[in-house]
Amino acid sequence: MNSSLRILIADDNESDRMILRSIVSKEGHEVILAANGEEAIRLFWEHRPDLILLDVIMPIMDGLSVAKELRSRLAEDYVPIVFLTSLQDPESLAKCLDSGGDDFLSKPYNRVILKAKIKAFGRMRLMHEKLQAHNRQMLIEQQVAKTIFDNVAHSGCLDLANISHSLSPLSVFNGDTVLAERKPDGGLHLFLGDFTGHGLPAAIGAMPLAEIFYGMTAKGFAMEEVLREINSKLRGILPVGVFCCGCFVELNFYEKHAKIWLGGLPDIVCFRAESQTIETFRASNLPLGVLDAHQFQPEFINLTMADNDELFIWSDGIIEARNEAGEFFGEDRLQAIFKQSAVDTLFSSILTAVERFVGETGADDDLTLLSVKMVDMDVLGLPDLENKRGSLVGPQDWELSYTLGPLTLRGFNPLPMVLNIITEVEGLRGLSGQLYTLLAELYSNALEHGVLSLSSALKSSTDGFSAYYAERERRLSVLTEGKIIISVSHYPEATGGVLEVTISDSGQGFDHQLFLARDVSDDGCSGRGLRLIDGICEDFYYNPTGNAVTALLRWPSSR
Amino acid sequence: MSSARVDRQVLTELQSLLEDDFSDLIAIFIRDAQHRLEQLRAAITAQDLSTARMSAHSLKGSSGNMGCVEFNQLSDQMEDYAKAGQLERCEALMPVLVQEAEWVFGELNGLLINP
Amino acid sequence: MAVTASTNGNTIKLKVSGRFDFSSHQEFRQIYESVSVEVTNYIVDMAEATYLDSSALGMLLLMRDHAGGDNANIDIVNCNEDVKKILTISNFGQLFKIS
Repeated sequence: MNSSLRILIADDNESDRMILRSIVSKEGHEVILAANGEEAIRLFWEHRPDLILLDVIMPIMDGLSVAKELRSRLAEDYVPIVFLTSLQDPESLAKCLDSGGDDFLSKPYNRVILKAKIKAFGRMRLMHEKLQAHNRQMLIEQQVAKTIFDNVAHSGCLDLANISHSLSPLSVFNGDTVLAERKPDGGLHLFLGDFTGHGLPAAIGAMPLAEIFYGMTAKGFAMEEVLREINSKLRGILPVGVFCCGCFVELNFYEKHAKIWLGGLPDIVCFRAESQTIETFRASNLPLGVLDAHQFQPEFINLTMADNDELFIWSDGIIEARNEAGEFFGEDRLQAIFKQSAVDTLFSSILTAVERFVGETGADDDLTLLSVKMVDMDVLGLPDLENKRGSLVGPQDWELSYTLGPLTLRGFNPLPMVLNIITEVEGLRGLSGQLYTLLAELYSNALEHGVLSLSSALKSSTDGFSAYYAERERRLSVLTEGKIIISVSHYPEATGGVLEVTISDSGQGFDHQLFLARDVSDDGCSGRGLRLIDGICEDFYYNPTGNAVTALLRWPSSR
Repeated sequence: MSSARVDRQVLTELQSLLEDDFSDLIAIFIRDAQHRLEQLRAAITAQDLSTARMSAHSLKGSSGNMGCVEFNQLSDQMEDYAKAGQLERCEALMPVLVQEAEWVFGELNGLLINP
Repeated sequence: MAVTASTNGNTIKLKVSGRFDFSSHQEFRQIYESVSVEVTNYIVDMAEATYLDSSALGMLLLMRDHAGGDNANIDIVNCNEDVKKILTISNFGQLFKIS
């Protein structure tokens, strides 16, 4: 290995220069000579030596100034500087070190000592280069990891019209993640997560989380099921002490309802468009990945939201953003922004306010912010669900009957699985959104009105939905009797097929005549349901009692 | 004349180090030292102790490297006086320093003729 | 951050002062990992703790795991307003006794 160095020698005394040059070149190194400080700097940048021997006292520009200038311009690169000096007093020597010198060589020059120092600094420089090469390699690897990460935790539907989000690069690096995906029935799942720790260990947990979030949401699983799965996964793979604080929101644009899970993140805000006031909500759950599956009992916030009401969610990065004086931005300042800003610009006002507060320091730019507005479904439209399936033709003639007893009805959602089975039929895949909505509607009628005997009248009071869902949960938790039977069959026809779905429940039945007689132009939930049914079903009818409903669907559609 | 002004061991090492350039080194040292002495003298005359200090410092350094023990010590002394602002002492020491320089230069030149 | 510990029978009291954060990891861990088998009760005294971040929360979870997980008996006492708020938002009251 070639250990010969390029050494810059700066000394204003010619005979001293001669002596040094001889010593250094006799040791096998390349020598560059400078007679004053200015020349030293010029020659440094021209030749980029590996080591500098610098006389302290020189005309035009002295050694200390040279050292200071080089250090300030070199930044990451390291070149050892050895001062040549006959100064002995500790103060002067300390000054040398403060200017950026690494060592001293005293006059008269001792060949042995100089040789030793050159060798030592040569080794240090080599180590430094290895370290830099290693860092460069790590950066490349991190970039690859980031690409994989980005592909998994893809943006989903964060670009929807009613969603605003902001993730600074540092916050992503520190394990913050924001996800959004449409459910097959048109609803929306959103998630903001903040993993403990920094760097790759923090960010890596977001990958399985995102996989589960996107996979299950697209299949139609409800928020609680997705959360439960995420919690179990994280509990299983993260070491003790590492967890994910988060906020999960499920939005229903028909019922104007938000269901929120909040664990470990700072308070969230709901901005009410009409009154222009805010409501805050506090986390009542432990972060994800802490509790075992059987201990995971999530508590939810149920919120009715009018159109243009907006939810704001952030990680603690915003609250802990610091200005030059070291003060925190704080929750008070954050909440005050809602009073001070124009309604349409709340999201950007928050970002601007934090930016201004932090000022030039900007280094601690760890900001994650998410907001979502309640809007009319027409603004968003139904989701376009991509179907990445294996088999081309799939099952053609089949029947299925699934009976769910009270214990199952309490906590299990059969719809994703049933939908999965139905959409194995190639011709039905393009309809999975509508099919899911249809099944969901019929199933929830069977469960809520049939088995639980809940009345929809409850939904229309002010506190409507919250009260309704609370009562639903209560009745489900004590359910001991009742059942629902889902029967599905499919038969091929000349160029397509026929799907028949019957859902029957053990309830008393209801006045289906009245339901079917409703005007299709009614804009409410039942109107929407009817429109959908009308849109995709060829036939639709109830049994006389009203506790069994059948929907018939032919594909390709002749409608 | 007094005893040797230049450390023979240092010179021997320098000779083996510089080889063919050894005589150049001597010549350059003498030339520079003379120049610096002039600087020193002018500075003292002008009562510019800051420049005097730098010149003395430089002489100290190079003479030390050349093995001129007494010259080195006198230059050191001159530097201290100049640093302390003691003009009269500088003035008094100057001729001593000049005399030492002449002895040193003589000895070195002699070596070149009679190595 | 400084951690001092004192044992009294089967109870160990860890007193935390200053910032309880990432840099305190080693220190804190060394102390609770070296308790004798007789110790069954843990008290973490936060009277002089000024600040708690998520890595501190992680450390408390690690300690809880070491102390028996769901069977652990840990009291976190003398929390000031800021410390209490952080523990409350994280709902650590579900896992520790906090006062």
